[in-house]
Amino acid sequence: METIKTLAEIVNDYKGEQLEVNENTTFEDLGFDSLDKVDLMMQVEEKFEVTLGDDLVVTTIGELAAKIDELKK
Amino acid sequence: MDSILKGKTVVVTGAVRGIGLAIAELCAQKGANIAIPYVFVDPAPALEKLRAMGVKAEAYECNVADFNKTKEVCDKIIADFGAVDALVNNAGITADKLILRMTEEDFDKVIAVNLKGAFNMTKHLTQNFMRNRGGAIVNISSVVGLMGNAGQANYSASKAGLIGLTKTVARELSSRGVTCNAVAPGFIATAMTDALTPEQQDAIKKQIPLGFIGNPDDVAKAVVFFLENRYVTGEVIKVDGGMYI
Repeated sequence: METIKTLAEIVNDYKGEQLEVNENTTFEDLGFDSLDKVDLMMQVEEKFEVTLGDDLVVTTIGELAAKIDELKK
Repeated sequence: MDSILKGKTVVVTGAVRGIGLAIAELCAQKGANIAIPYVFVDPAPALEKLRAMGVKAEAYECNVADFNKTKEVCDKIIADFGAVDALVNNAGITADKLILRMTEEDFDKVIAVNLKGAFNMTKHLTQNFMRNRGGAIVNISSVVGLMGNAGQANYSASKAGLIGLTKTVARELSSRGVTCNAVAPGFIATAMTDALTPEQQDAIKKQIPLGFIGNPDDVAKAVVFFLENRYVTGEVIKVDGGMYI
């Protein structure tokens, strides 16, 4: 949950607005295109000190959080 | 009517003399504030000229070939100016030799400054442009990047590479309203051409249909055209007196 909360903060900071972000929120819901996704991933990598790589396929915030938690173990 | 450059921040690498300084001066005339990454040449006279035009101007010692240093300098410029609205990758060097004599070092150092330097600056300012939802990048290529030139395998390769970089960045960042274009100068009067003998200058003029060597200001006008136009991207303008038609 903590990871999703931090991801929500990063997303809202990126979008410059307060959106309802939960584990089921998709990048499509957020209106993210490929450039936004890469930009966000770079910020996530920096914040969580993980390497996600360019090949990572995730659709929802929940999937991204699970991947981060797995890498942080 | 005011230029859209008025009050904007333009980064011009190597703008302490020659073509770079002419670009910075024309931008300053239009009301833009100027940030100059530079090496070797004392930036004080250029800064004095620009500040006398009523704009903010700062210089940052930085070899553009240095990835980490360019990151540090780009962050400093954003902190000092608030944001960057345009980038002109002008810094460049030559190390001319026929390929038979050209060393690996000659090749690498020219590619490092001319091509990787533009990559470094563009890369480190991309997030800034994306956040701003707009911006303009102009790369100073060369007509020899299009036509080749004996004795300049390294330089012409770097300048041709800049055209590929320009077109790719134009495609990647167009969705954020960022344009990326290139200017390809031919023979332009600089300290380098001034050092040529009258015979050498005549030989050069014979290759130019318009019959004369251009001025740095001719290049600056093409750069400013791109900076002021939001609907042209991925384009290359030759400023060469018709040398390569």
